[in-house]
Amino acid sequence: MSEKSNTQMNIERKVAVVTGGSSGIGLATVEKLCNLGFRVAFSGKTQSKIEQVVTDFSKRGFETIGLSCDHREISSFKKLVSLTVKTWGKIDVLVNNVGGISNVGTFVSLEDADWQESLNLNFMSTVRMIKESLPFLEKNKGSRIINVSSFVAQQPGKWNPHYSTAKAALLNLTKYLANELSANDILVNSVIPGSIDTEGWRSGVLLRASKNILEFDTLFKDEVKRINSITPLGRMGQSFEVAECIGFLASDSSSFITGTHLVVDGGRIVGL
Amino acid sequence: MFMAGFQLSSSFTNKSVLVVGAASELGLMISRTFAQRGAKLVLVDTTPIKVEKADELYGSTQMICDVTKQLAITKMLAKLSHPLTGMVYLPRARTRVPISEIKMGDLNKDMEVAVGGLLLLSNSLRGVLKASSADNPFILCLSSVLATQVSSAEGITYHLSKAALEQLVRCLAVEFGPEGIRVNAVSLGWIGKRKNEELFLSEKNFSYRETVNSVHPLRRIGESADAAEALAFLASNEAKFITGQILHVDGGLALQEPGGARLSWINSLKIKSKESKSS
Repeated sequence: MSEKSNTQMNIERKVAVVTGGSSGIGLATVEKLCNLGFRVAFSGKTQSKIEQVVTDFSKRGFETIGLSCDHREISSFKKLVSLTVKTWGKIDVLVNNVGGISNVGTFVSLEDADWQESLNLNFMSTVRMIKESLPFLEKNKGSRIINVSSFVAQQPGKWNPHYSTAKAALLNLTKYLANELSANDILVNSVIPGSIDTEGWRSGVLLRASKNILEFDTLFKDEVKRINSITPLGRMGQSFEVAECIGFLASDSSSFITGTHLVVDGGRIVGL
Repeated sequence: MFMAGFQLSSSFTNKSVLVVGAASELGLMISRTFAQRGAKLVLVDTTPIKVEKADELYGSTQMICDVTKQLAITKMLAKLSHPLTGMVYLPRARTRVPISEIKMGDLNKDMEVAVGGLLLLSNSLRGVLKASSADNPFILCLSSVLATQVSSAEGITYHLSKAALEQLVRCLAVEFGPEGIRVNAVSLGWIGKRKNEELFLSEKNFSYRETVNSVHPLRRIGESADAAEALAFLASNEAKFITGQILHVDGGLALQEPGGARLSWINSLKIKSKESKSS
């Protein structure tokens, strides 16, 4: 392909970066953005899984690239941004999705290292990724930053304060950056998923089951039943339902929305 | 060509929507946005809407109804032949009197129009919407930044009605959720009217326009289309796990600015009392 036509393509197609894009909400988001016509770069943990995603998507005509990362390391984000820009020359949309709970616990049981690990993975990952992407995001008018928080940011339960406080910090950062980056024509918003049936959620249940020496199937069924009963729509959410919201916030339809948190939780947090 | 891909374009062909307050400029814009996506519409207002043949709204059912009266609602719904899958509720009274002159009637009027009509209609439509649960039924309404923040440029009873409306959205979401009916609102800030556009964009209006734009982090006031796009998203099947939510579409107006330059400017537009108006 000649250099000229390559440049033309770059003007026509938008580019998105999704962290934690090889499974769950992140994977559904990569798919949604591809469907909207984006080229998507994503990070993940496991190389084989990443390759599988890229191969599967390329069969559907989607252009994606993936990079295996340790999301607690600042160098990972530098690599992800430089790979994206080297490949497609720009970044229009950044979705900060990576996160998770590596050690479940209560305030009393959690150690300093657990807090550091969680803040690194769930909060500093976003700070670092935005910092690295900013020089490219500010080159385009109306670039988007979309942060994936969690309903526990607004209503923490009795578990995992190292996770819920990190997710709450993301919401504050969203509003702060919406103000500061409005001068650069960058729109910053969050999505707040409720209980979503993802691999990550299931592995959390597995971790709790193993800690309490319970059978996974029993705890899983009990958890689903409990969540269904306290959610007005009567069910857990699916990854693609969160991805649809991210798609909306990445689209031209949301060009007057900044500093907003979009909750997608089946009504869970509005009820007592 | 490719840019079109960034617009969401989910089809509304299975949606049959009651738009209440359809005659206003915003109501017409919202109705047209829904019609363009293929929704069948019932346009409700207290005055008839003149629809030209070329208009997307041509062929929509029209109903004249005072939705603050249960009897009028019952009569109107009895005349509708096709099932409904959603409602967009827009009416507001927006009473603007200074605090010292507020009468009980002002409060009643704001509450009746913004909240009462929505509650009566939601109850009346509950069965119909439940019956269409496979089509992802919804109730949508419009809130304002004034539900949670205060501007001396608008009446207190209007503030109160929007705060009540947001809590009604949450109540209805919890009550109707088990029946598959979603209830959400879009919260607006400053939406410019087309009839004022020429004046707003005129040369002599330069400094006012600059100030108005600058109090928005996105440096412009909103347009009816901004509200319509957000409502269309919440009405779409893409939003089927969203309920009980207030989606802010305000260009960042609701973001507080430490130092309060924004607030002090808006409050300089304080409502005039009747005496000072006449003098």
